[in-house]
Amino acid sequence: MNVIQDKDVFTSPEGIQSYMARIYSQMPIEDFRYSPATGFNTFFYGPPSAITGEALSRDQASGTESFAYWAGAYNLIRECNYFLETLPDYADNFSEQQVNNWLGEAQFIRGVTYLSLVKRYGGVPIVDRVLTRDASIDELTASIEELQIPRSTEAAVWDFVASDFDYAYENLSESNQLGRVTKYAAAGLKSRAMLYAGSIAKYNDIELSRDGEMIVGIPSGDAEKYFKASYDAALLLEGKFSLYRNSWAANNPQAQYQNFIDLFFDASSSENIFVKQYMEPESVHAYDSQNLPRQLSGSSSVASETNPTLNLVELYGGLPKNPNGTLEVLDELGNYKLFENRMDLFKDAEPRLRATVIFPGDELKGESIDLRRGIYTGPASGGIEKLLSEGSTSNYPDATIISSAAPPQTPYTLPDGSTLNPAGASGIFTTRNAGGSVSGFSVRKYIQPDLATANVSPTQSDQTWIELRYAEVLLNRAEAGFELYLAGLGANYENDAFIIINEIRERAGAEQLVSLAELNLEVIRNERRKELAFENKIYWDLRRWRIYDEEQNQTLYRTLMPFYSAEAGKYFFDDRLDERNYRYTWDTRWYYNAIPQGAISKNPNLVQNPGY
Amino acid sequence: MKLFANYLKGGFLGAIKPLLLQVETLQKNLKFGKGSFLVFRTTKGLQQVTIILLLLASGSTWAQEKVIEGTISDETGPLPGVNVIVKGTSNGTISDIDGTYSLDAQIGETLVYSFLGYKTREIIVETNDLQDITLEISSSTLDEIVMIGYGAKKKVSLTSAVSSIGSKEILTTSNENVQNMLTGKIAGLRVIQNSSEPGSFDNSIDIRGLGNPLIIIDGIPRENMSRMNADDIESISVLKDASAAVYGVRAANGVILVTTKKGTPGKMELNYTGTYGIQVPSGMPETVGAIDYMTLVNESTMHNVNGGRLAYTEEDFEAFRNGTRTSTNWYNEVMRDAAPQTQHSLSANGGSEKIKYFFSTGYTYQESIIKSDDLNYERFNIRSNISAELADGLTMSLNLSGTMDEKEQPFEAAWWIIRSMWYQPPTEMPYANRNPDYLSNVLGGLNPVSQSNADVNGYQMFNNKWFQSSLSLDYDVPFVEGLNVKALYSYDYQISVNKQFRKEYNQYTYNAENDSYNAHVNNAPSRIRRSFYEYPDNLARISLDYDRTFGDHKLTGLLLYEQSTESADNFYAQRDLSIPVDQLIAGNSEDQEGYMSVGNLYKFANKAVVGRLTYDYRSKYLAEFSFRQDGSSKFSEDKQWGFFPAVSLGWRLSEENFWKNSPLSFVNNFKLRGSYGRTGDDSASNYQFITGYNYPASGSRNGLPPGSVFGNTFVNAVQSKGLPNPDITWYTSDMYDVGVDLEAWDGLFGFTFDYFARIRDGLLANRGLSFPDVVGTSLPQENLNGDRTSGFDMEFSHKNSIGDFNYKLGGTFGFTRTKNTHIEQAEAGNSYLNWMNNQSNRNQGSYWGYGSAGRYENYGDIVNSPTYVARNVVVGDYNYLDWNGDGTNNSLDSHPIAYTGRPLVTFGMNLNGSYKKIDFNLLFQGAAKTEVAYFEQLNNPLWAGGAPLTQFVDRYHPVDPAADPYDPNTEWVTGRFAYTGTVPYTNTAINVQDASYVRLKSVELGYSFNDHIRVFVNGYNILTWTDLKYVDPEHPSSTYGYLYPLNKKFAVGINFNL
Repeated sequence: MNVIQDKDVFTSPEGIQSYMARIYSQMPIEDFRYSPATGFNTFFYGPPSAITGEALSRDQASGTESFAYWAGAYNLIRECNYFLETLPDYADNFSEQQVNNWLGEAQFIRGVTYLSLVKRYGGVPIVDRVLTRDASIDELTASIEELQIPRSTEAAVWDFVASDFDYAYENLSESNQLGRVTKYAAAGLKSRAMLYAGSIAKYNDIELSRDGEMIVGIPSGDAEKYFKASYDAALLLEGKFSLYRNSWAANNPQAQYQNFIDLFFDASSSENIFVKQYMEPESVHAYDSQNLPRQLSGSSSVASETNPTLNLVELYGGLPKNPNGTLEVLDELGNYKLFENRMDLFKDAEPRLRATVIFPGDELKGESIDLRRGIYTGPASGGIEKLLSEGSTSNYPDATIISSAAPPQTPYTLPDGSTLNPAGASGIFTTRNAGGSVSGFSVRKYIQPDLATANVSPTQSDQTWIELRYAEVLLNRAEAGFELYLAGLGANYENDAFIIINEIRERAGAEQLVSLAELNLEVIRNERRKELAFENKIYWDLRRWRIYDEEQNQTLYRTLMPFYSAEAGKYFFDDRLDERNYRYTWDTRWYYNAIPQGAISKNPNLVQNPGY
Repeated sequence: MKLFANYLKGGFLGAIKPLLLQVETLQKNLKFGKGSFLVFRTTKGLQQVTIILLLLASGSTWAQEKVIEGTISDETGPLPGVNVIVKGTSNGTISDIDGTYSLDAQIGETLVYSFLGYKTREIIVETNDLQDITLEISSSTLDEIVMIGYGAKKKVSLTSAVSSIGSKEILTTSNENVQNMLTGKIAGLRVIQNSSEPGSFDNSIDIRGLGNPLIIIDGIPRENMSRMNADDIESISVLKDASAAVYGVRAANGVILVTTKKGTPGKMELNYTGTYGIQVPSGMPETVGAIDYMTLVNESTMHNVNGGRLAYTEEDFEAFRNGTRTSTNWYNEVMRDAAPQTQHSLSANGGSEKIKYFFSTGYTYQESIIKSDDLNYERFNIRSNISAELADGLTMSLNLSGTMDEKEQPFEAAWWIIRSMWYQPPTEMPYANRNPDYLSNVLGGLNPVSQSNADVNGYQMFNNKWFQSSLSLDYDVPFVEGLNVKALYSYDYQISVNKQFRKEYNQYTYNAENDSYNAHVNNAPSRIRRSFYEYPDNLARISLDYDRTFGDHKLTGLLLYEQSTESADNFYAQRDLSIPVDQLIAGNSEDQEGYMSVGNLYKFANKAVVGRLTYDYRSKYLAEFSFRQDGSSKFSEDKQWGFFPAVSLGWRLSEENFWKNSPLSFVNNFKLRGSYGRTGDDSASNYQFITGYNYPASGSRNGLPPGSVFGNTFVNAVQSKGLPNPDITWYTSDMYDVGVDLEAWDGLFGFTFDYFARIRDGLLANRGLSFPDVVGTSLPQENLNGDRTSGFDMEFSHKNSIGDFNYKLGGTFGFTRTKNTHIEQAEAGNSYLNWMNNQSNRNQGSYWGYGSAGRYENYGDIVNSPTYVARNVVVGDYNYLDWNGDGTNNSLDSHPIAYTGRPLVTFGMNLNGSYKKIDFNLLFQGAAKTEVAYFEQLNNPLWAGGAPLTQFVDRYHPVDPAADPYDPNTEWVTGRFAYTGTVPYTNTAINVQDASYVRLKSVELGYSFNDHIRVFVNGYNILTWTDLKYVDPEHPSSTYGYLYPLNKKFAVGINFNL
């Protein structure tokens, strides 16, 4: 009988560690094992970035989170509360510092859990103690109505989150085991949470009140308070962390590119504040097997699930652009520009972009990533005209385009007698199941640079997830500060934001802002989207900025299709709307998730969110 | 005595003492005599039980006697083994090999000659010393001895629902799994075979739909019934009602008693039976060819309301039409048409009056239809049942059996191979560029040719060994007439040793561009895993049996004490391999694991006292009362003990004079009976009375793991068990049964009917359903829910001879259904939700979903639809029923549309007969009131981008494949399924099919050259009549319908009897 009791757990650091191992494992963070369809710690296809417009995927289209995080959250909250209430009884076994640190960790995890609830649902019931302590089953069921706790106001929950992080900041040490939190993680998370709360206060217009209590929405007057709290919390990390520049060198795009890749793999990075580790065989994820380009995906994996959109790529610098900001693929005559090598189009791309997105023809693990939509067999001598009109959703003309539905491919014989497959080894194929890219790009960030293809499998990836890095804290500070500046609280905030954006851009190898005049809210937000792309943060940004419904309104995202002209012997690129015709629309009620019906039937005091 | 008491003290959860010591102590303790009393005392763990059995002395009278001698014979010659007894006494003997017997009797006493299958004769002793007797074969079943819990009884005096079949009836079917040989033969016993995969033994067996029954083999709870050598089985009894209550806390689902053959005195009889047969799959879908595949893929890409496109061009089709490319038939690449199977059994049986023996050995070998021949099963059985009369009235029996079996399979499981086989498009090839040196890296890497070949991907081996033993002493207590003491000790030990070898291999993609092969590594790194499980069980029992007739009053009594422990332990070791050798020694230390399966670590103990009293007045009025005081270590000290009584009554109206004198007298036996009994079940409630943590936490590596990684080390976590329930205990099950047994025309016709109801109370459930989530934990399981299973079953039999033609016809029919009487749940917010969710007072197995309102036959149906139609609907789409009439299809239209679960109705009919040297047997069997809904590839033609099964070609589609399906002018071809890309919801009437069936389950035709040699041919699952399309009706939708198929089998066999 392997039943272990409190006295076995709370009397040794090892026992406490095993308790911590449990509550850390359940912590709701949107990491490699998060899926908008199935939730936390699940194995599923369809990356979170494919609902935000960052990417397209064969397994995720327009939508919002479709799982319910509710009962699991309160289970974790109970386990934190149980720890907070039980450890003091055993405090004699440990030093005061140990006890404080552990209490800080438990309260941190509770804070993260409430943060994950309030950003989804608005106000939720606040439980800060073990509700079943010293009560028998019969007593509990007799007084069940006392357990049917109603929703608190949304503001009260944000304040509760803030106070948990404050407590954690006060009690946690400056250092801890790798994978566990420090006081700075608490401050950093607080800056994230308060920025969210401030954004809701300012931009949200979905409200719900019961008995005069605002359980959904925050009074707009609180916006400044929350932005200030975010800003102040971010300031606590000043000097403690720095942007990672170990392999960075000025005016050296190659070094800057390498630096931005290394950032996600260097365990000693000065930028990491809170990370989650994995380890084969006990705890793994499938990031590489799901996201490598098809040609590197090993044999049994689903390749290229995350295909960055051209819309995302066009946010970055270093690319030839039309006046409206779109990628320039045509020459001045309106014919396609022709390229000897596919990478020629991207030769000046911002290093951060190349470390985030794999371009057609780019190199990974010593292989050229072969992305090609098809072979153009039409005449090229007088220039190749655009295949389809601007904004067209039509199919490519069969007469001049050779496509490939799926491997094995039948090669096409070129005029010089050599042969070429219509599609690249990593796509783009015309059938879904062939597993190639669907946008012309593939994701680069977090892809392990040296994982042998033989070891690519859904149960063998174990690179560390960086839940909080200093760049985000700086961006929180810049955004919160700029909001304070917009609210009239002083030019210092504007200046601070300006410095931060340029610091981030310098490390990224991107163009600097020259003057304050170039700085505005959109610049700050776009910097965030570029810096934090594919880190599962943008979904929440689009929600809190309340711009999701503008961006996704029968929207077709843009893709970039490389073609090889048989006659010219050169490549050209066609930018077009998603050929698969997958349209994205955001339903405004999704700014708050629906409270699970099961939870309401168990607690009639819970009021459903508007629109459900 | 003291030693035995000590054994009891230490026995409960205590150390298991060596077998010999216990036998010795048992023997010592059995030497008690007149006036002794026996004290059982246990103090450890359980509340104290003290039983005092006072052995009443009864003086025997010793009057003048004479010796009666004679020979007993039947029409063919001397009959050994006949029981001869002086009526009303325990004085008796058994005829020897030559049919002769001798015993002491007094003038005026009655001698009773009885032998199974023969009419019993009674002779009054007169002056004559010599009594030669001829016994007639009885066609009546009334004298049959039926095994019941802890004993045996004549069928005529049964007061409860017990069905029984003997060796001959079992052996009319041949199968690797004994349970499959029972299908349709016993009313109320339901066997569903899910798969014929060699070694998987995947079937479900239940009695009256009650759940997994307790299986008792030769008096001991044992679970390996399906792997027994069928030729070893003497009889199988099914205790369907209160008669199971003597087994107490584990018998809530009824009991199956398996009795093996024992030696009979006489010259040694050698028996050999061998069969060789071939198996072919029953209901195995196949996938389409390339042209159909590409056509359907094109339909799915055209099927986009925002604008479609054709994925495959005319050139792609042309390449297959003109032979530039050829379509792959994956079924032929992976499967073969037929697979052999063979079974052999050899037994020796004989002995003298003092020592009797039955020895047997059996061998089974089964191959699979997987072409590589790497999935197969082999089994050896041996058995030795010996009994010896050590002294007058003292018999010792030693029963030993051993089973060794082994399943070998490729590293990938059969269902996964089948899934890959269905999944692969015909445009892919098993070998890259059709070059057999290069396995092709096909879609998803799932190449079924690689997966089905152990030389490529490695293998798994499952080896099980069972050793089962029991030693018993049986003592007819002198001086106390009718009293018998029996002590039994049993020790069973099972070992499972498994080996999994994952082998790294390459698959290739061929690049015609530059004629190169690109390797993709699979299954890396190579890995070996060995696991070891052991399951030692022991059981000790002492019992007193009393059987005596006082004039017209026959009284039997049983008092029994039993204790048992069941335990399990295991470990495994796993290493990645440095060199490609399939042994642990070849492993390296990277990522190695050494651990165990937590679920297979346990030790449970049970203790029980059982008593039973039966009363029989002139075979007319019958009564039985029994009880069991049962203790289980799975519960807290306050809740460990339970009392399980049973009572049953019978009245044989046919013994009444009014009956005998009435026109109904052709009915030889007409019995009314009724029973009530209580049983329990402790299987699901282990240790939930204790608070604490599970360690390590449950979890999975790519889901929520069992811990966290801290500082580059994985730390196992403790997982809170939540709230404990100190009051948890087993549920109780009250079983009611009324029945009638009828036999007419001296056995020509027999009929049995039973109506039953089982009411369970205290089924485990979480009250958490009604607990708000904010509490953060669910309430522990409590004994809250209840259900009621009721139904009826019946059997009839008819046997007759017309000249040389003898035949027997038997039928069984059962109906059973379970209703939830109480299901704990939150109060619903409104009456609609209550109707939706409240499971109380509702039959189990209702399947909810949308009804069907037919199809959108044409564009007009869509635009004129009275209900809301989504934008993307096309002609041929399924029109779901707007059940509540609100003009839209949504979850409010969900209502019960079908019944799922095991069939409500099962039936069988068995006809066997013989004409001179020819004999035959036909078994029809079926099930009704069952429906099935399929998922994944059986539901969706291009599931996950794979290939469609052939049935999906029958579909709605535009006449012109390039036509826009959303154009009102498009012309359509109709079909069974919708246009490719439309998949019915799994929970709709459209996706549900009736899985009722009748099949010719088995057939056998034999020819006997003489008494010693018989040859036969037989078949299994020969013909099936069902409305279910594409798949075998018994094949389950679980595992997404990918389970290895059921088989049809055709075999030839020979039987020698020397």
